[in-house]
Amino acid sequence: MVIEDLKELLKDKNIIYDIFYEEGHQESFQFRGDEPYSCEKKERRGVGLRVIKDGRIGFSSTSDFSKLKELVDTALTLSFYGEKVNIKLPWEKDLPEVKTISNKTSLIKSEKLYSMAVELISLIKEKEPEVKIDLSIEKEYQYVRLANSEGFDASYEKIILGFGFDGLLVLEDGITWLSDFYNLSENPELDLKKVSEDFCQLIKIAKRKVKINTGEYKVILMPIPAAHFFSILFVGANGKQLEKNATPLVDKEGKQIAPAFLNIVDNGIYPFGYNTAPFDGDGIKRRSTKVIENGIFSNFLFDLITAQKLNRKSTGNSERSYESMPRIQATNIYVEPSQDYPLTKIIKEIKEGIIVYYMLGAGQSNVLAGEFNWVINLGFKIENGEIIGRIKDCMFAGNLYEYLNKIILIGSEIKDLGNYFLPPIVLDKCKIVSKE
Amino acid sequence: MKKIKEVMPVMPDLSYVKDYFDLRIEESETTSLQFRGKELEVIQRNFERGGFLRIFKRGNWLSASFNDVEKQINRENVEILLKDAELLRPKEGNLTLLLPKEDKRSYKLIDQEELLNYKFDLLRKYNNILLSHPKIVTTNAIYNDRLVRKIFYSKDGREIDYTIFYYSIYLVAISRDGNNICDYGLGIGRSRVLEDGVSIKELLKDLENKEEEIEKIVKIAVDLLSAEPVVGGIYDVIIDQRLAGVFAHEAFGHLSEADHIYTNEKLKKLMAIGNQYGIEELTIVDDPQLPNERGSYLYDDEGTEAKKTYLIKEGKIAGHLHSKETAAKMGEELTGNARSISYRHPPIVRMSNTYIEPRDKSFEELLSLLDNGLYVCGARGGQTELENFSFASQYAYEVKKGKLGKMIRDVTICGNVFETLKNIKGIGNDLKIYGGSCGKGSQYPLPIGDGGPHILIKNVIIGGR
Repeated sequence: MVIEDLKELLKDKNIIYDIFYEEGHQESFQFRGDEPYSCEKKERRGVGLRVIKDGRIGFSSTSDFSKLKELVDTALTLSFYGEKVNIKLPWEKDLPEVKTISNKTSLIKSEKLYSMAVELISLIKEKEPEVKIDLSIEKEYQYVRLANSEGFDASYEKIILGFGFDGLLVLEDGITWLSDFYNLSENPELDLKKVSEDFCQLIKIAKRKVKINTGEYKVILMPIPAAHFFSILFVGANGKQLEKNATPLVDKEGKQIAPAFLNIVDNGIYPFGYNTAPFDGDGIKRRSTKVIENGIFSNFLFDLITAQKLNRKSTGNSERSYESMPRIQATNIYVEPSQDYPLTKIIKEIKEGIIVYYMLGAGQSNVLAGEFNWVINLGFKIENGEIIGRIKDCMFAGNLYEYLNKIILIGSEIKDLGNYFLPPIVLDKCKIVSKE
Repeated sequence: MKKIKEVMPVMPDLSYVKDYFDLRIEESETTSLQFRGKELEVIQRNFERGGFLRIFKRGNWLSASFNDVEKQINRENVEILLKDAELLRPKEGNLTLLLPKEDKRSYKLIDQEELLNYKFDLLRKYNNILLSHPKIVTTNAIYNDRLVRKIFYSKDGREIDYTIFYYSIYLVAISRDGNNICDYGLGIGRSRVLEDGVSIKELLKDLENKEEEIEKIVKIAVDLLSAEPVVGGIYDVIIDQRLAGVFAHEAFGHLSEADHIYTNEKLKKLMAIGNQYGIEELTIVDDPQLPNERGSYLYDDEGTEAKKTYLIKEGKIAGHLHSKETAAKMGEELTGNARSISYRHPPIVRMSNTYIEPRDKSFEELLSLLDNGLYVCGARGGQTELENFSFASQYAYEVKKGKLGKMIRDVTICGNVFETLKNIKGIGNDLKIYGGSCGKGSQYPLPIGDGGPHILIKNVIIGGR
């Protein structure tokens, strides 16, 4: 009704507009220090109105539906100051069919989710009684509807189920923190025994400290740090940075920037990805866009306005919630795995190196230029094909655009992080600074 | 407790709930403007209204957030919430409760007019200064204000209603020379509890006359283009006030948040009151009562009065930051640090304005004490995982024989917080406090303040290539 009411309020104003409506609810359980802590329910709803009046953009949003008239007036008033644009809002037909709701996940009961959490904690505690577990399970339903003055009016629903936990181990010589995450939006079944065994194996090795000297090493980035690594690329591949001449990729389209075996896709229609949808915040079809193809930088990501300014086409990467104006953002990032390279095999082939599970400092460096500067928060030393123990107080710094060419291997086991789908990657000759 | 109808005339009575509960209603109006380069790419106003109800039953929390305040708070929904308690395994646990208190503050602003023109002109003027150098390719200039009315009502008889106005600017210049891209920026953020006779236009004067500082942003962004990256290693350093604030907040402050501490006996020992981790001159405080700083407030989101807490006093652990739950768990006094970013989130233990107290040394004295090392300035951000921290600076200078040398870049400081505290060897006399935002769990951005004087630290790990 909100959209209909707004359409009514806008009908004689002779302006271009779009209305982004969302509502949803979320249920979550939190565990702290091995114990249940809370059950949270969240209702969420709101509407955002973008208007283009005399070629200028204004925007306003509200979660208070008694204020729809104020919403319209405000958006129109603000448009007086807004950016001048020359766009036609789309009316796209034949939107892609996307998988955003799985029956298994939508039917799962709260009791089942709660008991999964209890079981996992008890499995971990059996083996590692000293570790303290915090855990969170969140199941969220979203409904999104977008309508514009051209006549486009479409909606979609989505159910997301995330299962994440971390363990804290305090020993005499310091603190160890580990975490893991599973996107269960497609299938809520999780092999808790295997999950707990993998986790306990890491805890076990983390208790053994080994020394490391400053120097150059082969580094395995596990999927979470690898996602941080590639996120820097997606800052540079954002079409907005191209428009502003603020990315090292400005003149790199069609050029080799990484080894030929590297393929990275921004996939807005990946089944059960967190950012999967039939259309983006402008109403443009979501799609799969090759960003690196055979090591060649192939595409920037665009929304409607930026694409128009640069005389390009939108790639369906306009991201939006009801509270914000649309902006360019990557959707689900997929790094193509290699064939038959499980982690065990990768480790076995390394004579001397480091495997990194978590790090601190993501996003703090000059990411526009591609810089990264990380503290290895959980990392292990590899010697002669075996993990021998945990390293501490180490830093790893460099520039993504240089380090893309240091990728020598990509694993074959994809980790589903909800918005990143990627295997471990191996980098050669990484400078590691150690306090030892 | 009957007074709920006076506080919130639209709300039903909750006196039938036997367990501890609290209810927050928030109404807010936000205005945001953002220039990127020459274009004003964002101009928006948001109106929010919603509520958060929490019940503490059998040692667990049950909560619900909602937008349709009038419809959602009814007996049926409360019963559904109470039923969730049966699912959760019960456990021991109490809360530290407060004495009943009523504090309802209305306000009437002097200015009635829309100040949009004023905000736009101010931001455009600053953005134009940022763009004044040919090597500045683009900018990120943001103006943001948020007026939020917070209404609170709880089982222990707290009835609070006040309105706070947050206002800030954030200005970044992005410079480019060939493939070399650098950026530098700073933010200014303040807040004010509203009362009769306040003028928003007067408050916004805090953001005026910043031209000199903005010219400095441009100069540093351009100078960074020719600065060399730091060589990683171990250095003695002086950190500036901005970085001292990030250290106080990120490295130590988060460790003082009792929700990290109470579930773990060993952490309790590490953070026990009286443990010595620094020199006698070292005192770190958290103070939400500082006038008009960005992290200031009257009451936290559990209705507890804001108050100053010593985290480290004379080098020793002196206190922890608490919510009603953690104070009870640890048998310590309430500190008024349970905060949430909005009605969509529960209050959790957070800092307010956290800073290192100044001492007697001038910057020049610290430089001569340093002799050789780095002078590290500005903060891009910081991150901690308990004992480990990492924070990235904006720029730095070499120091040789007590003299400032050439500019260098990409300096990230990291280490173990307890060791780093022990390595603080000199504390300056020039305290500054800055407005910023903090993230914890899924709650970002929470308005906070942080600061300190110049600080001399020995043996710091600097990341680099």
